[in-house]
Amino acid sequence: MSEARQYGELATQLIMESRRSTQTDTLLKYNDALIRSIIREQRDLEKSAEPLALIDGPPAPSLIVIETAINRNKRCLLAYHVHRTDRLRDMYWSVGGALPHILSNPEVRNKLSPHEVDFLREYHASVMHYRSDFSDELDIMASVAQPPKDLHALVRVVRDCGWIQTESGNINFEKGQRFMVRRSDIEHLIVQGYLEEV
Amino acid sequence: MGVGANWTLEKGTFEERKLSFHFLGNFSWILTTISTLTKENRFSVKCGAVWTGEQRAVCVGDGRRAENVVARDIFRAAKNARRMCSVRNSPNRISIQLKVNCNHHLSMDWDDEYDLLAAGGDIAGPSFVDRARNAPPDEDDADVPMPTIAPAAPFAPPAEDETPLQQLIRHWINERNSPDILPAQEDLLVAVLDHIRRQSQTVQLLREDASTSEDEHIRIVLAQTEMERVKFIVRSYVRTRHYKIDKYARFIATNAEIQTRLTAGERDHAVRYADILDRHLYKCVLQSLPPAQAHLDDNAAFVPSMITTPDKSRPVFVHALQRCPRIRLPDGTALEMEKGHITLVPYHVVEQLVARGEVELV
Repeated sequence: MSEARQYGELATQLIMESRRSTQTDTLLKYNDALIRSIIREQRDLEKSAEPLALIDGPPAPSLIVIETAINRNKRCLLAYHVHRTDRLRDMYWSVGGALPHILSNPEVRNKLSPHEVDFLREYHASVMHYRSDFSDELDIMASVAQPPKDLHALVRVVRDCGWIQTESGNINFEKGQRFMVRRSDIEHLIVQGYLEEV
Repeated sequence: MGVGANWTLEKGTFEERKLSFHFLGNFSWILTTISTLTKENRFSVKCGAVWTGEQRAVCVGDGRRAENVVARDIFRAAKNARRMCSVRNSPNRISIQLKVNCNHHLSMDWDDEYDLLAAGGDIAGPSFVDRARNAPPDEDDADVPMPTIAPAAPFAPPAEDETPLQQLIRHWINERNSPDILPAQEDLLVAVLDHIRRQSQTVQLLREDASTSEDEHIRIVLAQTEMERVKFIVRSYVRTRHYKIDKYARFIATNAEIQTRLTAGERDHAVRYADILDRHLYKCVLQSLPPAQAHLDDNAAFVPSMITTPDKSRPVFVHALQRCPRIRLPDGTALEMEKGHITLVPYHVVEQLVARGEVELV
């Protein structure tokens, strides 16, 4: 670590990462190392601010600079985390609230911090609670991207997903098969990538 | 229709009870009652099963796992059982068997409970079936243009003769275009959902009726498609609100005025989510910072507030539904809109007009 680093330089990197994530529309890996170094910087800044704050009279200019740096770093840290939680929420809704589906995917799982996994779990619990207020007629988790044009959909099975209860009885979806099924019965499977619309 | 069950549960006991009813009856209130009682923590359901006649159809939960069986799962199972019943037309009673852990003393008569609930509703089982059976063409015709039949719903429509669906569409578009959260349309939503439920029951009966002709089947498919489309709108409406609630959760949790615009469920979720987010930020960042910095309510100068609030200065397109009173624009001039006029203004300028329904957002 060079001593000649400017205040807030690391935080700028963090914000750049959030911005890259938005621009490329991907979730980047949780940058634990960078966050730790910013937190270390915050502690150092706090330490150097303490003696300055004890001086009587108007605040020293250096104190104001340090305070500003502290506030800025903190907001950058929070912004980074809130940006990530927003992304996680979007991801959660884009798979129709299938939490196990997200968590069992090693590619996604590796990018999350343990706290973020907890966050998703708690969020899921809260949404499930909210959803139970609606009658069984309406599944609020289903997709809202495309208004339904047809009652049925022709789908191809991309991955085995076992026996599924549909309007026309139980169907065993095996890879490679094609079915004409009621859209609302299998919509969640399309969202999760088990089925593909033909 | 009656259940004929009388429950007396002592606090701290683990009991098994069965509720039995005719399969054509509307049993959703039973599940609603169960889920209300669970929510009130009167008891917790450890496992449940659904019986058709003397035969056990579906089991929910094994009683060993820690979590509760959700009323919703039982409901699903019961609904499937009912479908099976109406196909086979044989055992005409369905039972729901529950194993419950009783947390408080509870004594209730299910039939009394039902009478109370049914006093306002129109859920008389047999007469509904008769209606559906005896007048298929009529019902069916009425089914197809779903938006045009106004349900006999217990809410007062506004002065204009808009159907519930048209109202819903208007609220949906408003909600999607407004930066702020608009007042919840709970009654409207309940009415529309009730209507969908009644209609899907009718459709179900007609589909299984062998005398339904080919022509009518096509109409049924049209009705079903229309139902799916209405559901889509409801879903999109609910999700739009939900998105905004998540976004402004921390603001909602501290602001009483905005809470009056939410339903109880939405309010609870907002408070819960604000808490989850706070704790998440605390665990990730704040707890590692020196104590002097570990607050989420900094109010530093020249820095945006830490609480995200709806941006009411965002421009919106408004369409005047009637002649509107004069409004003052930010630059001091006044604007009077004739009916049909469309204009682009900051949201806060027309906030009141939207609330009064004089304009709609487009």
